[in-house]
Amino acid sequence: MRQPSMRFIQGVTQSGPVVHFTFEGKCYTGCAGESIASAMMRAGVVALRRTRQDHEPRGYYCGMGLCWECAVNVEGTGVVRSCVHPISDGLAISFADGQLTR
Amino acid sequence: MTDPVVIIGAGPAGLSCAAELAQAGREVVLIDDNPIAGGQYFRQLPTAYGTAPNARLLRDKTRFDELAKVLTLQGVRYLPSTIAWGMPDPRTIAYAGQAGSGRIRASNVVIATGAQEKSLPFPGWTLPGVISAGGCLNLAKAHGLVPNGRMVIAGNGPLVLVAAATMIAAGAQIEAVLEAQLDRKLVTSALRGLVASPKILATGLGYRARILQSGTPFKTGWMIAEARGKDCLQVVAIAPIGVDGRPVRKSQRWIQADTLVIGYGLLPGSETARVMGCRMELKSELNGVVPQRSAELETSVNGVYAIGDGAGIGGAEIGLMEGKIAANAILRRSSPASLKARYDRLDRYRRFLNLAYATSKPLIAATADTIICRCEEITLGRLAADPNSDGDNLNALKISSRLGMGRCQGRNCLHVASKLLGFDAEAQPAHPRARPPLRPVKLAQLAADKDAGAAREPDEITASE
Repeated sequence: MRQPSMRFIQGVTQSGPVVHFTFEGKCYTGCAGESIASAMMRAGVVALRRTRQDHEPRGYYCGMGLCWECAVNVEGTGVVRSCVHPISDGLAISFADGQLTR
Repeated sequence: MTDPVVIIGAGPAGLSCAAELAQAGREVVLIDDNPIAGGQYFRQLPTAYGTAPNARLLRDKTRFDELAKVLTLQGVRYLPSTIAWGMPDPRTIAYAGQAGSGRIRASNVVIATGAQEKSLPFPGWTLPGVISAGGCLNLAKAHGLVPNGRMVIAGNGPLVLVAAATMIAAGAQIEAVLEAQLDRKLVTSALRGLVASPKILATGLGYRARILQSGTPFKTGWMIAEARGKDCLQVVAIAPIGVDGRPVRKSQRWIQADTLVIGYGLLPGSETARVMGCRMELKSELNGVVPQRSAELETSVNGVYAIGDGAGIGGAEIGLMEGKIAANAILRRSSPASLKARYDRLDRYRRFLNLAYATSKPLIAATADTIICRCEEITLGRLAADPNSDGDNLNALKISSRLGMGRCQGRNCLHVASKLLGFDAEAQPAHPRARPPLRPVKLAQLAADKDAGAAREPDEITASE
């Protein structure tokens, strides 16, 4: 796995329970209250989606819910902005557009 | 019974307006896209997170906590994670979100929807690892995160300093900070700030001092030229800015970087005002297209007010004051003379500061192969080849090319495409047409809207006023 692209800032603490989720079939863990984008970037996943036409990787960009570059598909919910959507236990997440393998 | 005042946006402007109204006994509905109030300036960590006293965060928590008390006041209905997606008439707001969907009748509407970022496309700007300055600040403020590895920060405007200082405080490893404007053009604004707002000037200088103390190279008159990497960012090219506003590639330097922060300025987010049929104007001293407003901040549509960054870039202090001024106007009482005087002083200064950061030529780093519309994957070359690329008509170009038709609804690309194709900026305020839904809304939410009816076009609203 790649080096995690993000880490928690020193002094920011998480007391909630650890939550388990999957992204494209692989298992990951996150903290209660954490956004999907945050948990994935801490796990080393930077490409949060692939574009429809060229299958180019895209990741967290505007961080305020405007750009939709971080969109992911949450099973049972649909396409959400991963930068504002909180992670929860048992979430099954997949790419929102296109396929990773051509 | 009087209908409530509907405020769209719970940032500094919206919260301060709500507080003033609620304290005077007026019913308020506060609609906010974000799950936690505060807007971007007062963005908060998830409630499940704690912070140690020595946490490496630059933030203004005490002031936010005071401001957020309004959310618990009697008579304030707060709808978080909710989108105000349409205004079938200027007194009816259609909303959809976690609390359901429906329509609210309003006695007055206050638009406090904030800013969005100005894009500066360059080769490689879509790679994961390239993030906006607002996205960078939110990493720290909203997620408590700092990127690992090497970082470069490039942009134009006060946000460059804020992002750099925040990331230095958070412990990021910053290789270079680039401001496009030359220092000598910013000195006068510093001197004027001394009179207009010593507090804001001190904050700005404090950021600058933090960058200097950390030993981070700070270059003015330089910009980003290109980013490269396989599946994510690996290396960036930076270059001095030529007289044509483009990077001088023969003098460029390559720097290894895992994160590139780009902050080429803020634009007022004007689509709510436009869909409501407010008369718009282009004001370069306010950084873009804004609703025309009276001294009481009322738009051309009777009873509809516009406050904060969405009505002209000015930052949190301006937003807090405008919230009070608009509330006083709605309450039909005059604002205290001291508030008016402080506002006038800061309003003059923000206009001056916005112009001081404007570069003599618009900055351009896009090449023919550069993606302009991130959602629809459209390059500058493809746009330039479109028959509608030379008509000063963004609406026509949008229809023929699909520019701005993706999920972001053109927020990232329309303003910059118009600039790159040399469209007449004065011809733009009416184009492209803002239409409901203002943000993506689920069909299930629309279907559940019990008050649904025909949504009129903005020009129909204007015509019937």
